[in-house]
Amino acid sequence: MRRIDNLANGLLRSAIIIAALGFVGCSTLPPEPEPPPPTETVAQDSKIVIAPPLPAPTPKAAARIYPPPPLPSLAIVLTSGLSAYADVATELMRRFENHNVYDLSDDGSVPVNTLRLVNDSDSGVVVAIGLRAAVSSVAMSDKPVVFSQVFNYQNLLTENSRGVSSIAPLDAQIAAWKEMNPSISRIGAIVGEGHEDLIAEAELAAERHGVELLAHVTHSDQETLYIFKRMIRDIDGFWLFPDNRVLSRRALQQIMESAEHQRVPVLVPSESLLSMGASISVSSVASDIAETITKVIRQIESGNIADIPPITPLSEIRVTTSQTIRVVDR
Amino acid sequence: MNAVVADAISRVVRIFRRSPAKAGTRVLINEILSIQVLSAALIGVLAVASLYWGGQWVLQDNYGRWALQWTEELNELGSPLFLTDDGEALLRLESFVNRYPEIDRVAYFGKDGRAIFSVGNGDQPETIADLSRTSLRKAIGVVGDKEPYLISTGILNPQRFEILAPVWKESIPVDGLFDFDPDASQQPEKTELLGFVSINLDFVIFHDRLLANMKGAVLILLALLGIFALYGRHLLQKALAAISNLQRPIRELAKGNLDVQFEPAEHREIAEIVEALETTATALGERDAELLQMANHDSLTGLFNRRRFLEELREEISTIVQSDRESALFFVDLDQFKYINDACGHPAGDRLIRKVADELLRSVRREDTVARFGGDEFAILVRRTDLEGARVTADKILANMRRMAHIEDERVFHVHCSIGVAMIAGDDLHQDELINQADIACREAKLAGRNRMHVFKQSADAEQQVATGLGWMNRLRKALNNDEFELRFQPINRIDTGDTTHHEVLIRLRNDDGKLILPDVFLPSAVRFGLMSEIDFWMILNAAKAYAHEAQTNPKLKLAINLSANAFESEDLADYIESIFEKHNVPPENIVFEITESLAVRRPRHVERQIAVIRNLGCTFALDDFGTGYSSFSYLQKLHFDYIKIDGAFVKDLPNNPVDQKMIRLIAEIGREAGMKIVAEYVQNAETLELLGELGVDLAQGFFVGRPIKRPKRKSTPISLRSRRNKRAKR
Repeated sequence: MRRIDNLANGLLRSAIIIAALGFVGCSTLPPEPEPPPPTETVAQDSKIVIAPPLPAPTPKAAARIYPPPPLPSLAIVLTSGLSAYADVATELMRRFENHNVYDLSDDGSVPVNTLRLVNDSDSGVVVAIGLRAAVSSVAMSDKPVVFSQVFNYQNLLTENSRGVSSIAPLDAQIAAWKEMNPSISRIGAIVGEGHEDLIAEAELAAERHGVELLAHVTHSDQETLYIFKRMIRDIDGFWLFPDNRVLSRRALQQIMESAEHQRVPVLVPSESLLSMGASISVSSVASDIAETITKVIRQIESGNIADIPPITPLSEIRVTTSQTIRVVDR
Repeated sequence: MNAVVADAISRVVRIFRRSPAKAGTRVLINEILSIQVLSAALIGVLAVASLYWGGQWVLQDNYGRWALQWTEELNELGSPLFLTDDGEALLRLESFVNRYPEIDRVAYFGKDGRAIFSVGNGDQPETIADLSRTSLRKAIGVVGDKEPYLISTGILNPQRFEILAPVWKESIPVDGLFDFDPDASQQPEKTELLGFVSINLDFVIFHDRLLANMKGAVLILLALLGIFALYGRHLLQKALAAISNLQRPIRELAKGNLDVQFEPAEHREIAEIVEALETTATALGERDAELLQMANHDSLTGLFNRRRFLEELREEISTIVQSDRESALFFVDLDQFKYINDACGHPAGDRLIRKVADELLRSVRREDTVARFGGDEFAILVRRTDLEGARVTADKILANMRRMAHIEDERVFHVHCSIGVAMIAGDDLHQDELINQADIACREAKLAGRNRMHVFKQSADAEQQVATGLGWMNRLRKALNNDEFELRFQPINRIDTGDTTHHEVLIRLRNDDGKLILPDVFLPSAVRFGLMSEIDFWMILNAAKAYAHEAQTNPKLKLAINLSANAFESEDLADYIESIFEKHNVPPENIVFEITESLAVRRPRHVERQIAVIRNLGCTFALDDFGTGYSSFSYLQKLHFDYIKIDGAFVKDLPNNPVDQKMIRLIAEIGREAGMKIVAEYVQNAETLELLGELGVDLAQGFFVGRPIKRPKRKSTPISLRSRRNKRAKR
């Protein structure tokens, strides 16, 4: 009987979600130049929309079109087998014929030995996925390194290394959130030290969408909580950045509880956080990350590594909502 | 040590032991009110105490909650201070502390327990002591706990808290929160101890407020108690008014006012009490009237008795002394009354006495007082009359008496009387003297031929007679006051064995010349002057004393004590006997009371009741002087006596008088049938004794058996009938 009730509730909630999404127009974001990829449903009460890639910058002059240079042999160093890392690696393997994959979490794997192998290999570029792989690669690789899925990259940028953003493009995140909840006007964000560029970019993105951003830098989960409890009275949305240094499980729980209590919607970078009470998740897409990495590698291969921005932003986002946001919207 | 403990216990016991309150000092309303007020006060105190402890508990609980909340906030606030040189954080901290005056001081310590800085409200010490190693160890031990703090409070100062909490930071180990699983609570987090925060909290301000509120509550409670007490007293007085209204009539009743009126009560319980009191008052009134009647009146005629007449006479004398007027005292003695009594029996005599009483009452005025002095003697107080008026009244009485005819058994009797008159005049009067004068005058009238009056006149002879009468009275009074009477004990023996069964107690008066005076000489004067009752009581007391003394060596001693009719005039006779016997350990079963035949046969109600009470004590009774002519044999069956004492008149000439012999035989047979023992008095010789034995008499008393002696014989010297016969034969 209980199982039947749960099933009925699930169906009802799904119906409401689909109806609400249709109502707010999520499914139409952004305009569709071609049929959108099939929608993924990760949970009965949530819906995922993958936005199409941003339009490519128009070339200034249509010169001769040269075939793209062949892609180099690739060494992929994985921090672990987490799906967030493995999915990117899989996408890369599809794009690069010559590749070698090294997983630092394998039994008996020692980063020094692994990087020695990488250096000894014929790989032209090292792609480090995850912080540990990135740190080891940047520190020990004698080949260009492109790291991804690293949020706290502050010490990873060298002449020989570049990164791909680990989070979805900020402008698109706010656009998606604003579309779903047009009344949002003042949002708060807390992040640890070393993310001044991120804060600046976020403030610009918010400003573009007519939203005021109150950003604070904290140093511990306690401080994060303290700041959050004080700012929550002044904001109508909270943007959670995935800075694990200033977040703890307890802090996350209290943030979510306080936000739910105050009816303040929270935008999170991971779908898994929806179950804690967040209202919307805007995350990156593995294929987009792989594509961006490919672009960066091409630029490195072309010898213009100095012209490559330290962190190359992504272009696609994956939006997942929960029933909570509908409740808030009502 | 034990003595000290025992002394302490006894002191406590003395404190709690309730000493009996003095009668009449307690007030019911106040006690009920006190109980109510005390109960209310107790409840109030308990309520205030509960309020205090409840409030204290709530405050303590809140203190704890606030303390922990503030600790958490200070923990959050303080963590940046360990990580950065953040001036803003310090400002935030100071602002936070200043917002709460209850926070006395907040101090932060490094990981090694070294004091970093402190901030607080009010005066703060310049330096802060570092954490002790113990505190440090304990504080480190609670890192990561669910309740990560150490809280301490003083027993005497529970509103002061000191909290020591570690400050640490936690972080999720996975960079970027990739694949962060909120449900995987087992995932370890990175923990880094930053330092410690110590918070001193003082909630005394709330405690003071609580106390102030409590004081207010207590004052209100006291005021309510006061109002309650006043109003309760009013209500109680109203409710108990019915009982209060009983106070006055009960007090009046206690004073003897039996005419008191009780207010009707509304309450059923009180109404029942009122009804019971009214019934009691009525019963008391009836009993009072009965007692008064018995105390003041002669039971046969209803006239005043001697005692009451003497009161009337005393009052009259006092009036005469003050008002200078005259009255007269008559002493009336019936002529030949004994003849009618002997001829027609005692009931006939009683009927005649009643008739005479009526006649006397008819012969005097309403204001005059007629009394029966006893036997055939009457006294009349003729008020407001001179000698001539007294003569007229006396003549009227004599005339009426002459006209009066008394018919008994178809025989007509004319009863005359002799009247002695004493005039009550002047200012040197005494009732005893007046009675004596009237008595002398009455005797003069009798001497002059009866059926006449005689007025007392002062003369040398008369004075002598008065002096003699008054002399006896004074002599007897003196003898009573100074214990100048003496007791003698005359044995009463069994005729068949000669054993002494008991002794009759006899009274003697020692004359100034040392000779003993027999009772025949002084008892008539004692009767006339109303001293007989006192002599009876003296006899009882001294016989009991003698018994107590003699019983030590003679435990089988049994005594017979004479009681006159006057003794029964006192309602206390039975109680007196019981108390005297109890005091001197006299077994009542060893005492025989002898009463005269005349008293026994008349048996007025009060005499009968007292005899029953004395008999219930265990005493036995003997009918004295039986056969002197007052009663018939049929009475013997009705009277419940243990002994019959045949009058000496039948005994003294027994051997020569066959009528007496037959009479004694008859008495003995009837007595035996009735279960009584027969005693013969006045046994003067062996022949009489032998004859009495043959006639069936059980016991004998007389000079031949034994003379009155100072102390009862311890052992009888039995002389059997046979040996006595032999004695007589030898003689």
